[in-house]
Amino acid sequence: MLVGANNSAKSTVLEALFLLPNPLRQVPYVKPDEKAPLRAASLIHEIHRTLTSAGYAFLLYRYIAEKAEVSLDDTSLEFVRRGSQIYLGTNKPLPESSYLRIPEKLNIKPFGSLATSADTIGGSDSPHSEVRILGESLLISSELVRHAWWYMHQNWANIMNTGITREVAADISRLVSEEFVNITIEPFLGGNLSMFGFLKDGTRIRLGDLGAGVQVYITARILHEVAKPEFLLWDDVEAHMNPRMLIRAAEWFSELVDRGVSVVITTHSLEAAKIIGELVEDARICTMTLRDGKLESSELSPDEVERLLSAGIDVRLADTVIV
Amino acid sequence: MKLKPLGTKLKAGMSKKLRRTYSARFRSEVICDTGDADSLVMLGDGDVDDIVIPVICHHLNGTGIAAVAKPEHPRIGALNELQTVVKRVGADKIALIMDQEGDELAQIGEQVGARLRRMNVRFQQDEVFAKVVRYRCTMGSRRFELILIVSGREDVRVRAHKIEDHLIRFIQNPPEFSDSKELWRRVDEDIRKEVLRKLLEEEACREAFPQHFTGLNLLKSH
Repeated sequence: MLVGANNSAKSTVLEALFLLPNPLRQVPYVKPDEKAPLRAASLIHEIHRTLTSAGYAFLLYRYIAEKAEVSLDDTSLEFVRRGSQIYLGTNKPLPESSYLRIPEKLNIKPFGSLATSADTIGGSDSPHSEVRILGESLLISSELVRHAWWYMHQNWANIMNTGITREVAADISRLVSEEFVNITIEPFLGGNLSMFGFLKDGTRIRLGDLGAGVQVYITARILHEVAKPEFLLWDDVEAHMNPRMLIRAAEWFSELVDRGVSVVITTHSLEAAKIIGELVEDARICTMTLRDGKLESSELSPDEVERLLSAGIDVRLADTVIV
Repeated sequence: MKLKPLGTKLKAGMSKKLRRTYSARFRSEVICDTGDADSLVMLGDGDVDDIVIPVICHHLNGTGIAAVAKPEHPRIGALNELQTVVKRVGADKIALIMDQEGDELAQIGEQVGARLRRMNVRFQQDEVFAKVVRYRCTMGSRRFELILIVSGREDVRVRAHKIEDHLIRFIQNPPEFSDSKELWRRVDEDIRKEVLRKLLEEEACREAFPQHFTGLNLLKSH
């Protein structure tokens, strides 16, 4: 659990872990206005989009750094800027066909590229989107729910056939006052399609008319079934969540951890951290501070967080004094 | 010296009191929202500490920042989590402010000493001023100073000494009282505000809170 002040790079850590397997891979999100499938880097770009800004320079420190690197254990992903391109390299061996053939001399063998100031990705016809240098990671955020629904819309047959929609509907029924039996996509007024919660009495409620916490939980469960990630990354997990829903989400995290999935969440809520700390064995809390572009973090156990609270010290306000 | 509150309730309460009693500008001069702190002040559980201690720290000047916390348990109970605090908070000096209540000073000293020994803290103590004791502590490989500041004035004739002892001297013609906290609560709000504003005069504040000035000043010196 990553805890820290606003702008302490918590979301950046999640985004970096999301990019790490391969920024060019397709992810289970679709851009709503264009109905175009998104790649990992494009999804992060969507989150960061400001007015008409374009391109991937935001991946580099202050937009002008020559290089950036994301590392986890022995896996490393490098971003090297040359002119208007950011080339992607890794320390992991890849099939020869994955590498780009570019005349420029780089200190990496690039397997793909991103433009600094245009929304273009790729570089050649190499199968760069198939490359994986780490197990799959899935990013969940309430901001991305609508992007996920469009992905589900385009892949509904596959999703339905997994049985996850019935499972999630039953799960949600235990948390809200209505009894759902399934999630469906059906015509709505004027013949336009919509996603529904299908109730036991045969009536339907559009997902968009359900509470925002329910929406994000349903979305996370379905996307998880699709992506089967090794890393589940959830930004601002407490957003829109009633404690009842949060406890269920924490129970789900616990089940995932038992199955070997690494769950990384960010939160501004100590209540959320306590609930998750209580339900997920060996949960750890990292306080994070960003100083002059350098990230500092300290790891605490939920018990230590509780003891500090008893001493009047809230780790969210004490980020710069925690060692 | 600025203060950086480490608790949400303390931060909100301190901000509100400082803004209402003095000004928003004074609040921002005294309270620090960001920045590093190398010392920690553990406040007593009363309402008065929240406003008096920031004013004293303001008079102490300096550019340093002290973190400030209000533990759940008052007085010696504030030391319950000292091990975790020392391990996890990067403060070399920790000031504990507590009301004397009806205890003898020696009795409080013994209780603090016993508590430290129970936590396997080795220490040397010296009384640097009346009602200010400095414990030079070693816990494992960690060294720190615990500065105990006991609130209460001997010239106030009460059975239990409290931080309000220091304030009621500014109340002109006070009614009969046997407890300074009770008197402080009983007087008109305008009088309380007037007294608190009087603390902005450094000399008056120093005279009223001598042990607090001495003890908190120890946080500054290296």
